[in-house]
Parts: sequence; structure tokens; C-alpha cells
Amino acid sequence: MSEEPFDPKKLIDAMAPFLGLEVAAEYRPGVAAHLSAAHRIAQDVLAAQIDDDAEQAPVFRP
Amino acid sequence: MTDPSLLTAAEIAAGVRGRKFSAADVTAHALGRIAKLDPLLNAFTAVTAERAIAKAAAVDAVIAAGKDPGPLAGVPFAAKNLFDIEGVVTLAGSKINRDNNPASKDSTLVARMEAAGAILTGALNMGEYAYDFTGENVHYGPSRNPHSPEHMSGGSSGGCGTAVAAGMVALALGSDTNGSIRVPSSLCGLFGLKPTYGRLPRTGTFPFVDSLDHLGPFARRTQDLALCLDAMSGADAADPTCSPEHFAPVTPLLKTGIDGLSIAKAGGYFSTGGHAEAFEAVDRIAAALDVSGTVAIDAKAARGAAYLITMAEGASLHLERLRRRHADFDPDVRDRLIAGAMIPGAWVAKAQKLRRVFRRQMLDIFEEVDALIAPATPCRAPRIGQRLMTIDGVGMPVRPNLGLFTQPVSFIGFPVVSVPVWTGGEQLPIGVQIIAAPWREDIALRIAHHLEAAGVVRAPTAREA
Repeated sequence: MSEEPFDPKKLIDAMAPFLGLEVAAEYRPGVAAHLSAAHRIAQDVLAAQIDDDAEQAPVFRP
Repeated sequence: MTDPSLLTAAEIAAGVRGRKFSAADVTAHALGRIAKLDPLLNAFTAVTAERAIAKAAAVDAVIAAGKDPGPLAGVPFAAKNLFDIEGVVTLAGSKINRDNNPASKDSTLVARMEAAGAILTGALNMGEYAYDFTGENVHYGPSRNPHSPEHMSGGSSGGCGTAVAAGMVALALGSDTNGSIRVPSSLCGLFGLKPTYGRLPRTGTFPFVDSLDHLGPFARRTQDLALCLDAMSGADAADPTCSPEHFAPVTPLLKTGIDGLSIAKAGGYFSTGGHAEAFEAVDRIAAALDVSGTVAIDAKAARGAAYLITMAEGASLHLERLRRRHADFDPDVRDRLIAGAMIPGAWVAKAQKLRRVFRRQMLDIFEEVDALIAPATPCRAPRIGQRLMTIDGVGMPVRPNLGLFTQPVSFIGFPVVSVPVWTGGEQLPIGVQIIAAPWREDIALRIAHHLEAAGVVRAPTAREA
């Protein structure tokens, strides 16, 4: 993992136009807080050891 | 005459079927109680009085003709406003959906309830688009806790908790993606059933997170939960997640006791991260069930995975609305959804793999036990408007964290009955989750009924302010 601290503001700046979303100035603190919370919570998920052949939960049956 | 609408669903149905009182009487009392209490408590966003009166007359006519009106004859119920109700706009707690046409037909579960003789009295308030654990709503106001109206009902099925705890209806239908039945059940002191994922069809309801969405009932008695589940059960090809299996009714099993059942406390993740009252409630249930064993469960990553899937799938559902109508969202919901749109796909794919891994771990535990008990919420109902709470010395937002104990369980779709515990002369209750293996709602309900019969858990109608 990168040692550089995660900056949610940079992510918002990059992703908003990519997604076609307008993130107004008054939305940014809330969005940034939720991105930071997600980033923190994701570390537990990313650290979990899962085999390469593990299947995702949803199963599509044609 | 005692208000018959305050009886249990089973008692109302028995009284109506036995001509002790009519469905019309019950409905009139229920509508009167809604008119009296809802201006204070704000459970309903629409009251379908004309429809209720007409349905009650139809039930009474069936009885007069000597025919069977169904097992829920004359029982007043209401549904979270994400259930389609013919002629009513399905708001899903939002301002944006007001622009939609009224629903052209009832959702499958509302139709099944009425086919069983129940009387729909309206649509219930909820957190916007179900992304909520508080019961607050910036557009329609908060649904209030009938036991203390300055406190939260819990969400997102907040109106369900309010309406049943206030005695406005005997039964309510809600949804639970990460805890939205169990959290308001805990905060409002009710029995709530989140069935196994795929047990009940979601056809005709506004979704939130398809991977995680469940529907289920609230009640003041365990028998009423069982009757309601049985009335709503059945396959539905229109919902691809709904199981095609036939499930035997659970009501006949309700009073068969708990002899031979192996029950343990859920430890590890479920034994920290809450206020003392959450664990006192679990200990009280454990003592009543003579449970001494604890199973350590590492659910932190599972909760994280549910959190990420919810953010990403929720954002996917609402992306176009976020582009065009962002100013019309509840700001708390909008900001989470915008952030959710920025979650990497690689995280979500791994979260879905972790879901299967955690399911396997929990199935292995259920090889040894029949049920686990765990806290439902980390605390009793916060005050309306409270944004932060402190747990283990750490400040955290209320809104996403009231469901930290419910989220890992719905993540893998296991059935849960939340049971209401009143400790220490407190004004407000708190819930405990009784978790069973997939498709074993009967076991969770049997345990809940055993506790109810022993007087350990109870869901009284709130005293009127």
C-alpha cells in the first residue's frame, strides 16, 4: 500500500467529472468524510486473505 | 368496549372470525387511533382510510356468507412507504419520488397480507431511500419513538417501529438491508423478524441494495410475527432472489419449546463496541436461556464488506438522480451516495467474495449451535437530532453506526428475530438478536416465544403522552 496519506479531496476532484457528477462546495465536506470512513473500513476487507479461486457471493444461473 | 385494535393480531383475527367484533369495528378504532396519535408521532405518510373501510366491509361480508376470511381477518397493518400500494406514490422516503406516478398495483407482500384478511391502513415514514438507521427524514420529519417522543424510532423502517409500538397497527411490513427492521425494533421495543435472504419476495418494492435487501414484519407478539410470515410466504418468480422452495408454516412450531436446542452467545466482534446496556440485555437473555457458551466471531471485515457493497450498489441505483436531482436529496444520504459512486470496483468485488467466505465460517459455527444471541444496537434510542455518540471512548456518527451489530448478519442473509428487553426500570428498551441458520426462522421464533412466555422480553403498547 502507498505510504502517502489518502486525500479524499483529490479523489473527489478526479472522480466527479469522470462520473459526470456535480459535487457542490457544500457537499464536499460530507462526501470527503464518507470517503475517509470508507477508506478506513475497506482496510479490513482488503487485508482479508482470500484464495484466488474464491467465488463471489451472487451466482448467476442462465 | 375495549379498543379491539389494541389486541394482538392473533386475538383480533380470532375475534373477527368468531364474530365477537367486526372487522369494521377494529378498523374504525385503528383509524381513530392513527388520527389521534399520528400528528405527534409522525409514523404515516399516507392513510388509506377509504380502502381500509372497504376491505373491512368485504371481510365482514365473507364471514356473513359463512366463508373463510383468512388467518389475519380484520388485522390492521401498514407498510413502509417503499412498498407499492395501488393508487399511492411509492416515496421510498424521498422528495424526488413524489414526481412518480402512483403505483398501478400492490406489492406482492401487501397483496398477500390482504389475501389473508388483513386490513391495510396506510404507508409508513422511513429514512430517505432506506439509507438510514435513525428514522429521521429531512422531507417528512422524524418518526418518533412512542415510548419517548423526543427520541429516535430507529431506521430506516422508522414509521414501522413507531406505528406498532404506539398501537396504531398490530403489524407493519418493513425492509432490512443492513438492520432497518432490527434497529427500530430495538429502539421501539418490538419483535422484528428479518427472514433469510430470499425467503420473501421483494416484488413491487423500491430497492436499495439488491444484494442485501430483505423484507419482514414488526409486531408486539411473537405469534403475530409467525402468522405474518406464514401469510406472506411463497415463491415468486418475479423476484429472482426469492427461493422457489416451499417452506412449512412456522406458527404450528412456535410453542414447541427450546428443549434440545444448542444456543450460544456471539462473542468477539459482538462483545465490544456498545454501551453497557447492550451487553446487559444479552446477558439477561443468556441467563434466561441457561446459555453459558460463547463463540468468538471475527465480523469486522464482514461489516466492512457490507458497508462497501451498500455504498457502491446504492450509488449505482441512484447515479442518474445524483446527476440530475442532487439538490433534492436529504444531504446526509446524498453525500454518502456520491462517495459510494467513487468506491473502486475492486473493493466491491472482494467484498462479495468475502461474503461467501464469512457465510462459510458462520455455517461451520451453526454445525455446532442452533442459534446465537447478540446485541441488536449498541445503545438505547438516541435523542432526535443527535449526530454523534461515544463508544469505548471513541466518538462516532450515530447514523451509520446504530447498525454495527446488525450489518454483519444481514450481510450473509441469516434469519434473525430481534427481541425487546427492558432493563433497570429504563424508559426505553433495547433489542437482542436471536440468529438462526438459513431458513430456520422457526428456531429463532421458538426461542423468542419461549422468552416472551417467560416474561423476559415484552413489547408493550406505549403509554399515550
